[in-house]
Amino acid sequence: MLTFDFAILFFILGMAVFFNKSLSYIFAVLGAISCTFVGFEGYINGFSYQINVFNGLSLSIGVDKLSAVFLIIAYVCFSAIALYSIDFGKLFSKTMSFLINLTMLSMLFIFCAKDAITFLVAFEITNISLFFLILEKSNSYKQAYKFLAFSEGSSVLLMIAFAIIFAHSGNFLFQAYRNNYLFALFAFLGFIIKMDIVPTHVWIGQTYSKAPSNIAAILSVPLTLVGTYGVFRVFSLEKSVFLAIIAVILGALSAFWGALQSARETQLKTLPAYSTVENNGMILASLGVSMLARYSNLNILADFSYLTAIFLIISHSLSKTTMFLSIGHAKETLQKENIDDLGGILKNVSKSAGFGMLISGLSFSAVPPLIGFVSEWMLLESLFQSYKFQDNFFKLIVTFAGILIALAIGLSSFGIKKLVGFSSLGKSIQTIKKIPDFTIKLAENLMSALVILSGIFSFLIVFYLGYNNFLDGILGVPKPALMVSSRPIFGVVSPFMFAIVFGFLLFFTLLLKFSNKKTKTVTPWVGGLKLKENEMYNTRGYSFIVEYVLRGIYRTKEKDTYVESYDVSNLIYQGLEILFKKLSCFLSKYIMNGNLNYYIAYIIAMFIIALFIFKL
Amino acid sequence: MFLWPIYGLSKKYSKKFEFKTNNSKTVFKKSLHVFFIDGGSDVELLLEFYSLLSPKYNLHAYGIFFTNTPRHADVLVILSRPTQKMLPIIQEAISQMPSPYGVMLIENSNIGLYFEKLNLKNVVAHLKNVSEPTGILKKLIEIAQGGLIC
Amino acid sequence: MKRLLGIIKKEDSEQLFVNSGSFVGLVDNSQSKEFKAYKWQKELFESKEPKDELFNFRLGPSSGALLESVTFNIFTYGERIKEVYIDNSYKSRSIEKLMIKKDVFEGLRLAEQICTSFAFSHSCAYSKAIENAFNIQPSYKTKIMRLIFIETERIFNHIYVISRLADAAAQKVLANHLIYLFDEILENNKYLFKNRFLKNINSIGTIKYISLDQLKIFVNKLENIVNKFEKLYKFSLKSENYLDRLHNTGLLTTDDFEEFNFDGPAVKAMNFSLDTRSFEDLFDDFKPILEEGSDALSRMIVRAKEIFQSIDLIKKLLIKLQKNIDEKNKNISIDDDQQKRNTIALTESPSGTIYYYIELVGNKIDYVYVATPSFFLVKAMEKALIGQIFTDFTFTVESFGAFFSDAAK
Repeated sequence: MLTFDFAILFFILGMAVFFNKSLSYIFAVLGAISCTFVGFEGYINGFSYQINVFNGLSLSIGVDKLSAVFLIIAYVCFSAIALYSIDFGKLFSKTMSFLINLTMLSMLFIFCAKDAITFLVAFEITNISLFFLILEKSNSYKQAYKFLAFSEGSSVLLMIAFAIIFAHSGNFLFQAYRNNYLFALFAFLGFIIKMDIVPTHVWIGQTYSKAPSNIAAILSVPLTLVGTYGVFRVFSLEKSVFLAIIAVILGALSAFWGALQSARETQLKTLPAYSTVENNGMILASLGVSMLARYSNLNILADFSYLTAIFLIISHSLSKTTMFLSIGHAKETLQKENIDDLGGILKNVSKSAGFGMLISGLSFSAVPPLIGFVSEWMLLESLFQSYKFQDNFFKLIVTFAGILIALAIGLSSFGIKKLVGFSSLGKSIQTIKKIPDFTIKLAENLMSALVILSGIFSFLIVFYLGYNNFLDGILGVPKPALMVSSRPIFGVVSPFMFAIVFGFLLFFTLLLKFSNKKTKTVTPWVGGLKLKENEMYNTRGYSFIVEYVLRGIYRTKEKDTYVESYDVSNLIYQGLEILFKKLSCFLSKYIMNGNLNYYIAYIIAMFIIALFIFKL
Repeated sequence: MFLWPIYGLSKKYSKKFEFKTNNSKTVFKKSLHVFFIDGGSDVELLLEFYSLLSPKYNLHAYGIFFTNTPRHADVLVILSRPTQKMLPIIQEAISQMPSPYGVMLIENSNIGLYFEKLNLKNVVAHLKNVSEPTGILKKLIEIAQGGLIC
Repeated sequence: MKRLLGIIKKEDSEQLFVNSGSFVGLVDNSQSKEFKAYKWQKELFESKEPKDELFNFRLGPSSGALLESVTFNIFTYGERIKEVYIDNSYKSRSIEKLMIKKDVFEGLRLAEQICTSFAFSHSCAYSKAIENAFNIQPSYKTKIMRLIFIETERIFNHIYVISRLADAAAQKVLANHLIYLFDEILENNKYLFKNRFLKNINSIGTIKYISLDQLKIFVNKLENIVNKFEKLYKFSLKSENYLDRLHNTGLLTTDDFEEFNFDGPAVKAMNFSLDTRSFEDLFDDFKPILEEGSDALSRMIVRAKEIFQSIDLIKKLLIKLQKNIDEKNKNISIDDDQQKRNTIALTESPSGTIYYYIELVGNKIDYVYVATPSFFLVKAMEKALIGQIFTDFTFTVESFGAFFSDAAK
């Protein structure tokens, strides 16, 4: 495939010219666009390429429909990130351009890998290059190591999974992995760590806020897509009911927990980080429902849930990339961390950053006709169909997942409104640091447009993915523009028609607004005095009511001048941290303390044990 | 058993107070939204305004309503001559009112700034030594019926 | 129970105006360490800024939630009120300064303008002070009439406060009934004196002439209104919703009393009384109303019971008055003899005791300090609001029955 070769060529060129940052990023953009084309081509006619290394051990790369979809989504986002980095990268060192090219290249191989070796090598390169990318910002060692620790945890689980297969079949190719339960379990666990599913999400808050924003976007979207891709792959290989149930439960919990934490968060990047947890939870849950439906022979529901998962991926990827790019722009311009200090992005920083935040925020809050609305509607529709399950246990699980996810959608809307309302639409006059921003704005605007267009033309995506039976035309909506959630029809929605009607009404409203010139505009009435700077309602005020009502969960403590609340799941890791510190202290004090006698005793003991084992 | 609505209706408070207006037919045509601002007085005028809410006067039947912000008001009532510190607040309130608007002045004591020296625009009434609800109500109804000519 | 009523500052000297038991007078400022209230009275006008996550939620000066022009600087991080600073300087007319160099009769008119709701109490306290200074003995009838009208004032003021409280606690029907009763009492006042708030009735050494028959009609009407109030009040106590809103809101402790030295129904709700009516000879065996809750509900109950107590006292006073023959008013004039005089007097107003400290040169006022009850209640209000949520704000504020014009003077 020509585009595939081009992509690799562009990335290598990009790495080679790292000394010229702009050129390097331009190659990255070209490479990412090529990768997108690889996805489009691979979706229609996939390809596969295999080499024999020695003695029946073969390596293979290729693109099938599943990897093609992920390639398209991931590399559309990568294109925007790379475009954004042309100007944004000027604030950072030359190694960043090199590492971004490397990350993109290795991630291409992750999506195209057909065997365990290629996959693991690409996976490790991605992890390590991202580790160094996080380090681009000073004082971020702790956060970078946390990221690495979780990534390597995931790698270890994957290695175990692959080792199981190799022991079983003596082959590294993925085709051989069908119907191996143990492999599926370990691989599933490994991949959900990459998806930041609760309780493996604790690193993201701090790491996202420390990492440069383009890197945070990579961490949030393409990297979690790797995990999602892995879970999709595992489920396509092993249709285990147990794993599907685990997926639904963990997914729903994760969505709920992420939304719950985003409702209380007041840090600019931590809030979207928790939103990532929530969205990945929803993806996992809908995939689990799809698997359960397939097992119960509810094929229409299974197809619809599967489509829902893909839509959720598209929605999360596009919206979250837009959000991180806009946040990064604002954050670098204003040099602040708290949402409260970042007021007035739309007015003060730039229209495109403010609009990007607004559109992505609206998408996460499920406002029609944006893509977030379509995907969350689909998710709720598929969960509402839990009554179709024959098995009462499934019915119960899916219903409770539906309750948790509905709560999560509400809470996340609450959190996102806080983020957008206080930062993008808020009011505050700040000192602004000028940064070169042509490509930054371009990338933001492109992504905003994609969020809107993908929502309005979501029926085209359904059509492209080949799920024609979920498209219909009733109630005056022309044939393919109406999306249905089941056959016979259960629920319908048409963002396309909504957009037309809304646009029509908006036109007249605007006409009315601009024709009325007699309107008197005054500042709000605040008791007759001018509003002072320290009298603004802040984000803490906004979220305190939730913190207070849910004080049992958040461990809210009201202090004299501030409120303390935190993510309780951190406690598990704090406990583990203390345990390991004590353990290593014990080891270094009593066993590995440099005493020669101990080492000799250890060598002899091992020698004897080995002797016994091999003799037997 | 003692029921509020029955108890309330049996009292017929609003019937006890007969209030004659010049032209009762136009009473319901125009409603008047009133925002009152305390100029920094002793509380006499405030208490009188508060007692205007008594069901006896049946204020809403004459189309008179109190609002909580000058932005919704037709008439701004300044109760008593203002203190120096209240002056900017009164000016801000007037600047926030949608036109056409009117300003009604009521004074009951000889403490505070002189209304005449404030150069307030659109003064539709200036009551001196009239601090009782009936007097105030009469003036408000006059303003409501006459319409605001500003 | 010691109270620091105020700090009398004159040029370079500083004296403390205190009340301890039946003693009311000035002491040297070396005793300031014994009064916790000394500190805040000293630093009354210092402004403060919010810290950390707190922000200043400012209510007022002209807001729909408040009747008077006053600013509540509420420091909060959301729902919980953490600190409150009340700025009532918008209402300050500096009446104490206006009184200086004025004739004692002009001073009386100014005293009535401090706060209309307590106009008669202010007027009585002021005229008592002047009477003390010039050794004028008001007649027996005047004394009794003054007490009757102070109790009348108590009745309409308490009904007003309870109606505000009911309005704040969303008991709109009760509130409207009470406004009607409030207005009825004012109309009744007007019938007798042509003034709804009992202004311009009292004078130094005497009171406006009213025949006994008129007074009887007045008291009868008042009693009718109080009976109506009793019916409404008893019914309102059946509303658990209403009681629940007031119960345990705006709690105060004895430590708060020691720090802020407030009095009136707010103290009676804490089960002890500083009511100066206990020392009044014309009341036989006066027993102050006490409650134990120290919350908004107890303050409301104290007020309601005081209304019933007041009407009883009025009836008793009326009987005493009947035994005495009608006497005509005499004209009182005060000569300007250029002598220096100091005088102190007090009256129990509806929300607490009013103290007047006046220095006179001849018949001209040289210095005045008025210790108004609201001045202390406003500080108590600031304390009681701390830790409450915004929903409880209005109940707490209205339950004190404080007037900011009274506090700002």
